Amino acid sequence: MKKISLRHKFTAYFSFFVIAISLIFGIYFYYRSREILEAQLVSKGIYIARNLAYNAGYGVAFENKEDLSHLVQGAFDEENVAYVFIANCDGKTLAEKYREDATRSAVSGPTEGCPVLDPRISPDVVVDKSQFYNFVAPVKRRQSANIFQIEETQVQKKTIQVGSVKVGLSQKKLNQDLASVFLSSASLALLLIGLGFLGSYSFLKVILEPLEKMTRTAQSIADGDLSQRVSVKSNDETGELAASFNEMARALENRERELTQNYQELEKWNTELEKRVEARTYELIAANRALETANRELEEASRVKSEFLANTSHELRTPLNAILGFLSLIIDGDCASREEEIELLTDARKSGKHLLSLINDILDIAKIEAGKLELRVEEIPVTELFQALQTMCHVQAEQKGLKLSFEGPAPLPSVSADRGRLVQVLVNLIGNALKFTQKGGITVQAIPFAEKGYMQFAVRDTGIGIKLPKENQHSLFESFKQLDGSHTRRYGGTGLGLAISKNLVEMMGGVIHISSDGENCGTTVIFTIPLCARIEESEEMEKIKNGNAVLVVEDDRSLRKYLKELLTKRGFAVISAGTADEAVNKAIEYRPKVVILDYALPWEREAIFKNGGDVLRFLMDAPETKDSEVILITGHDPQILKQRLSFDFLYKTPEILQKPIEPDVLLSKLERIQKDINKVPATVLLTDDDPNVAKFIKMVLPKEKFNLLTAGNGNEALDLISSRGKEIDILLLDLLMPEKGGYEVIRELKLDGKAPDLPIIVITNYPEAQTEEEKRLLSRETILEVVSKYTVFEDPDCIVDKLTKYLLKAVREA
Amino acid sequence: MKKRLLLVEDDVMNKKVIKLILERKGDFEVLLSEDPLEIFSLARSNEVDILLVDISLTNSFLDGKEVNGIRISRILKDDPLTSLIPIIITTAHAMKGDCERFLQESGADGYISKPIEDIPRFVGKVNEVLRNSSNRGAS
Repeated sequence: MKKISLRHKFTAYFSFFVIAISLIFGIYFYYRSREILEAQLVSKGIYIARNLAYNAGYGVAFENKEDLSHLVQGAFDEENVAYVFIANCDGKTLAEKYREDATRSAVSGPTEGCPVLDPRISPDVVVDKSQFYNFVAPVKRRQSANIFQIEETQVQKKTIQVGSVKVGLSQKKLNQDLASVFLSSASLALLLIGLGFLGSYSFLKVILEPLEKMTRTAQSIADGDLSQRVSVKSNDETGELAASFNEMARALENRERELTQNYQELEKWNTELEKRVEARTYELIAANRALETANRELEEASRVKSEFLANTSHELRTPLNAILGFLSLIIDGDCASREEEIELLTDARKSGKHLLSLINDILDIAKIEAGKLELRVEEIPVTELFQALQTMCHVQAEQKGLKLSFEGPAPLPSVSADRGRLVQVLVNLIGNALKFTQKGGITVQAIPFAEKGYMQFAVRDTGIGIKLPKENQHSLFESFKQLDGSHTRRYGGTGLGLAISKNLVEMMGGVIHISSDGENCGTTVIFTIPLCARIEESEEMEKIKNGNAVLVVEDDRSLRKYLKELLTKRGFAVISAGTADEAVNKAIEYRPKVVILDYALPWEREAIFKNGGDVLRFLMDAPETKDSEVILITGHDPQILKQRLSFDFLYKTPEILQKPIEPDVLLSKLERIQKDINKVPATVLLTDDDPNVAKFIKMVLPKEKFNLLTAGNGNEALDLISSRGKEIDILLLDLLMPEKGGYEVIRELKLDGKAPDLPIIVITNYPEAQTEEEKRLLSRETILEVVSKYTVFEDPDCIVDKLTKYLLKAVREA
Repeated sequence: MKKRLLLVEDDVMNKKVIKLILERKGDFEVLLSEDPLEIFSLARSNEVDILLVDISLTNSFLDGKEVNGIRISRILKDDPLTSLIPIIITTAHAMKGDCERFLQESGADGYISKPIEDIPRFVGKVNEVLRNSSNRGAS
């Protein structure tokens, strides 16, 4: 259906009604006006005719034309009058007058003469409407002169008609009036129509505009623009409607917004959910991958373990085969001679030693891999470390004619590491370098990288290098791989050294790297060790820390102060204590070289250590302090104190000084002790054909205390003693050695008088002397002690303790 | 006439001990070589009656590459000139399954694990392998 807007409908209906009403009203007005106008005209005509007739009575009667013409002329004052015609009863026109538009021909009637009117039945004026409104009035005559009297009496008295007057009134004026009335009516109608339209427009505006607005808005809303509102501000129903509409729209919008929000929320949740699912999927994938990786790693670890086990098994079986084979041959009596038997036994022993070093290395590796290897991290001055290494390795280098040099900027800072393990790594790397180098030299270099917090060690050789491509060189750190696999047997070793070194370096917080430019291009192993984080301490603290301090234990504050000042002035690092407990604590903490101890310390009930005697016994017993020298000071007779002390069965007798203290005496005593102890490192000559023992002893002996020389057999030892005899403080001697054994060395030194005063400690696997002469040679008259190698291997510290003990004794005796 | 046995072994001590065992307990003439080319030429020229080959050979190279006993054995077995010479693998690789794997890979006639625990049995095994192969060769 074709859409017809309300506005159009309203306009159509309204127009129809307005026009109809206006027309009806106009027409009615027109006709009514016309009636009135006509009536006016008629009554005017009647009046004129009557008046003329009345006034013309005399003139007609007397046919006074002049008079009548005056009358007629007078009647023409009225503009409507078209003509006037007066005739007498004979039909004789007495006066007539026409307006220009009214011709005689147009006038009907007058020529027919004046009708005689019967007053009883006809009115005094006959009205005839034709072209003109014609009024005919009879002119009457009465007797009396007074016309009015005649009139009055006319009814009573008989009047006579003498003529008639005919007046024609023109319709022209009427028509003109009617025309103007028509115009007015039409105008009125038009005005009404206009007003009607205006009214309808206003009405429509008032009613429809809000509606239209609402319609448009509704359309917009329907089209989706929910923010649309009807801007109708009116206090009527449309306003209410608009408000309701707006309310509805707002509600709709809110609903829509809520819906949208809900939808968005849903969408968000959905996205969230999707994301979560995705994330979970990724997580799962990642977890899966991690599992796969872990699995692969486990498999790899398992493979590596099996491989290690297989390799270990192989490596252990190889020397074992030789040992068992040789032994079987000997036992079965298959040796051609005693010499061959010895030869085979020696071979078996060599293989056994190889087996031992293998087992040691494997145990090291196993310990490391099981996490059982404990590190004792301490501060290690690298300069000192290098000195120790030089001492340990230079003989080996010299034997091969190789130059072994240690380099580094001075002063080298300290590193933080396990001393024994760091030495093990360096000895191992230097050992490798020596092993694989035929000519040239080995350089050990230390470069501190303070900002990075580590020291870089480099061991460079000019040896056979590595045949492997660079990217594979790192595989040499795997167990049982050696620098160039073909050299395993030729160069000996277990193939575990680098693996152990790598693990140790990493455990100490460093990294290790091996590189070589190729075969015969030399090899460089670089590794890092963390620098000691400690800020450089004062020289005094350094001295104190290094066990160079003097501990003054004295309750008398003034004496304590005096001693402290005295000793400090003389360049000693002094620490002091006022009580026995304090003395013990400080002694443990600083391990002073010398303790000046007041024997009579005040007795304290709560204290653990009550007096100087307690302190003395503790110092002598505790491993931290038993190397400290003690000077007792006492106010009593030193002899009585000495006696008293003898009941304590002390390990050594302390020096005793009587109060008051003579500064010179004290200082000379201190200086003597200082000098004695400063003689260390004591030089130890180790004579053993097994380089493993030398290696082991080297590792065991603290480098700051012992300088180790090594000799491979008796002859080498005797040569060294004869050339450097003054330097050598003590001899560690193996018994079974090729060329010249230990018994012969003892005999030559002691009985033949080559060095009768040189203290000797025998270390041997065969501590039982066989012959009488051997027994004599191993007696206390000739040597200090016989120590089993197994004891040494089991408790490495025992050899250190023994050496220290004998060296100190020797110092004191001297 | 003494049987000639070629011992391919890289470890000095093992070389010595096995040679002694075979000479003294088994009445063999023991030749030693670690050089694959020498081994091949000895085998081809019928200089040896039997080979005892170690697996890990750290000093043996062929065309600049390390070769092990399995490879040497395989080459000998694949060569029609030498395929009939009996080969025994002697190795300290004695994990479970090693024996079967080595025999399969090398084509060798016998496997003896180190350490040699029982010398007479070891010699017996060598003789047995030698006998079996000569029987085969004869038939």
